[in-house]
Amino acid sequence: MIDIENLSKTENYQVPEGYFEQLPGQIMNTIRKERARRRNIIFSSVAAVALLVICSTLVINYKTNEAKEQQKQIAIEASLKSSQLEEQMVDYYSDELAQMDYYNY
Amino acid sequence: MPEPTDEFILSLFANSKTKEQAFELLLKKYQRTIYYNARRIVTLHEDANDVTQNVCIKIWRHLDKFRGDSSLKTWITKICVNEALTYIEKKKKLLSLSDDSYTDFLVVSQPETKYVSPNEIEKLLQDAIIKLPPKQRAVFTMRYYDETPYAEMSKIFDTSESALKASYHFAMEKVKKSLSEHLTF
Repeated sequence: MIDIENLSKTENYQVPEGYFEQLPGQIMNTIRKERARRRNIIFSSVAAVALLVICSTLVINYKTNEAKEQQKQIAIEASLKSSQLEEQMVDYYSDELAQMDYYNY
Repeated sequence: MPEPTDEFILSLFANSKTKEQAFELLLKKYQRTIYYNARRIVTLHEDANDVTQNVCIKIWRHLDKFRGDSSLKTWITKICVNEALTYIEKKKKLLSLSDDSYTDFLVVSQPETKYVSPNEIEKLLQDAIIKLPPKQRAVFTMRYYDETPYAEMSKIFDTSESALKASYHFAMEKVKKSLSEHLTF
């Protein structure tokens, strides 16, 4: 009668020759590649965010300047209109005054 | 050269300049533990190699979160067992195989020279172990070959010691039954 507990408790799995000598190197290579890939992803993400920020700033500046220019233009036009009106009023009242002077004489 | 202690490896790993050096030391120390634990569960060398690579990458990613609640070996073995069991489930799904047909697949896939043991009884024992369900196979081999204490196995499998004792007992019964079909005890 054989007792299973008394059998030799050694596992004799067959492993390719030199497997354990090469394994740490293979795994370290995989890890280094993964680290490089992660670094690239991080660098690309940072570059993309920076580019986005720069473009957004340029667009916002452009839009702000455009709005300022429009406001300036409106102000200039308004001031021109008011000065024209002023001139017209001056002309009108000058004529009026001249006529009044004429009648007074 | 004496084997580096876990504390030494962890202290080197904590420093970004010596992180890779520490991990190489860890791999040299634990590669056989990882590989053989995986091999016992997944059986085939190619599968054990895949599991070993996955486990090592997981260890690399999460070692800085290791809190030391258990020994480093227990922590690594736990990752290995979980990874191997997950690997089997994925492979069964991929091949659309049931538990029984997956066992048949493993038996058929084994090369003739799968064990170099000259002892026929040991070969029959290994064949009987392959036929156990994966988790039971892991419990059985860990206890039978390594004589791992149930308290440590409890941490690895997240299962109570009494449940593990029962699992080992049932596995032993199955193995004995399988062997008795070929031998008279």
